[in-house]
Amino acid sequence: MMELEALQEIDPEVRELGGRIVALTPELERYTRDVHKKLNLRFDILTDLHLKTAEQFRLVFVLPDYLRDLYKSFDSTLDRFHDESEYRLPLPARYMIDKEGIIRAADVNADYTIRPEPSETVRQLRALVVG
Amino acid sequence: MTNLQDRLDEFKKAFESGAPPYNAPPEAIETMHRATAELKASDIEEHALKGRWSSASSEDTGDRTA
Repeated sequence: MMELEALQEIDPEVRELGGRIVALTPELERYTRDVHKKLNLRFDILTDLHLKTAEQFRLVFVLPDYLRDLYKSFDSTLDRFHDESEYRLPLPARYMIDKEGIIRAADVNADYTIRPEPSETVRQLRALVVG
Repeated sequence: MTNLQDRLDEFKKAFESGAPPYNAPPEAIETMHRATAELKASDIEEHALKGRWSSASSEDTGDRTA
């Protein structure tokens, strides 16, 4: 949520440079719709149904049992949110991908409390576009 | 505008304090720390698609996504 808000702030710059932001999540649209509306996002949140895309990026992990139980105690039942029973999640990641489908920048972190600055993403995009 | 990481750190601090509005129990926080540490210690980050920086001079050296 905080990251989406922060990405919204760089959206005009990204567009100006010819880029497009897109957010992917395993959550079903009926849950992401509210977030999209609340933040009045100008970019799309796409549902990566059953983590098919995250699998291709090799980002998927299975929650250990003890964490699954904790999520359940918070009423955060991923099977309902994601329409799957396995309690899998993707690592948080941010990619910059060019028109040819080549990854030009990547930030992958197993610690979900650490995220790259959107200003750094703009810098990388600018470097790619300007050369 | 505050940096994203500063905002995240502030939220983390508030959440882990155990105080309202989150009221997170200490054992829940400990469990989350354990899970993050285990994930970090696994080799999942290494195996994730990242592109190939060392030879990024050519158009065809990056990991393709499609």
